[in-house]
Amino acid sequence: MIRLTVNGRTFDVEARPHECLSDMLRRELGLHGVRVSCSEGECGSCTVIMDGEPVTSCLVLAMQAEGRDVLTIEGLGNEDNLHPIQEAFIEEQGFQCAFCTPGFIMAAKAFLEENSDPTAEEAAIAMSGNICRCGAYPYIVKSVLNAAQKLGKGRPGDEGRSG
Amino acid sequence: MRKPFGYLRPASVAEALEMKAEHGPAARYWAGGTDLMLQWRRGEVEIAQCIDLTGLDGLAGIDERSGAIRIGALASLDALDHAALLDRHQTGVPATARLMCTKQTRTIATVGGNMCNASPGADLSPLFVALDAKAVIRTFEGQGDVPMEEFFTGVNRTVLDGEALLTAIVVPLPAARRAASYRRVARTVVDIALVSSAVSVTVAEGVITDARIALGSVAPVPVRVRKGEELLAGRTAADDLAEAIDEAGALAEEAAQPISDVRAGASYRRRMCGVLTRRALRDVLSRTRGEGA
Repeated sequence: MIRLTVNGRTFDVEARPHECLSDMLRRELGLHGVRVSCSEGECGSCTVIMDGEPVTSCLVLAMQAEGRDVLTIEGLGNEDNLHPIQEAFIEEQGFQCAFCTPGFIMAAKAFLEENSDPTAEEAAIAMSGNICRCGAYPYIVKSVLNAAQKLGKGRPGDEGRSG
Repeated sequence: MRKPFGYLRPASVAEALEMKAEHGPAARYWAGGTDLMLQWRRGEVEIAQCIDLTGLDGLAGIDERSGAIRIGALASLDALDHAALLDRHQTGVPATARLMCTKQTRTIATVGGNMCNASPGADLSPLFVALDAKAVIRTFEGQGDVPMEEFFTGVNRTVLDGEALLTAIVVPLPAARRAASYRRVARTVVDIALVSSAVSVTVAEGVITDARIALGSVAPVPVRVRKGEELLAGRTAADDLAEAIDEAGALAEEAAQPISDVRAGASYRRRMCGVLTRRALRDVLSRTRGEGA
């Protein structure tokens, strides 16, 4: 058994020694928003945030998450209480089939904490660790820029910021 | 489904060495595991035990001590990207780390793991060779170091043997002004290098006192371009070096021993060695000519 924090709650879960974090989160905790596509760290679908850093959870050993703080899309927001990044993706239609969307949103969350006011080019580079097979990239970049605005307006002392 | 492996978590470097010695070659040191996990899934390696090093203290720092920058083997590629110390001393390391894989894999992958995986296409390998860096290695006998140039012995092979563990990479800081640069050709921004060149030049009182050139992806291990280095050493940095840069590029083409594979042809790789070496040289020479040169 390992103990870790996921989406703000502490869990004791069974982790197999050779198992990756994404498989454990899906099986033990039913967090199917952690999407697994390539299993090679190329596509970014399984991106979650661990201790504040985005990670491809298909490459992290579940055992290495012991004592860590993991955030998945389920901890970000839900249908009744959407996170501003989720709202932005809906408004800008930053997806088609949406399989890759949780990974993009978690990558965007980590990125916007590092760079709260990005240019379109910076946003595109930041999203280059995620693959969208529908090819919604231009809308995804718009979504990230929209999310930056929403988050900026929510920041205290930043109300007067234009555009 | 691959045969599962066991999991060991040492509390100290000494305990890690003991675990490795006890369990033998099928026990593997595990840091970020971004290469090892895939090699295991593909059935390319047998792993009986994973010795997880990520909980060990004091192996992830990047700091300056006694005229050198010490990079802990567990420093992530993302930490290298953001290391102001490596940037300030013009090592070329942050910009190179930023080229590697993706943000969400750079946060996991470690510099030590990248060196130990010893891929011929590893971006940091030729750069560390050009920077005259050393690998710090712990064994039961104690701590020793090996020049990075001698650290790699073949495709996915290094000098590490038995319980030996890479604990740090040390980049020396010359008293004079030095700049290093890494250039590569890759299919996409996050792809691995088809061919690469790393250059480091030290300039004291306007004269090039030391030049080091190392090529990547053109042989099993990084290749020094010694003739090109000799050509540049002793020249006045302020002079028009266009001809010398051209010639150094030609010598880089000569030194390369590329192969043809699905990713690029040998003749293309050879030509690019010249192009990339010239670009890297122009870049570092313009930077060593700045204030204080």
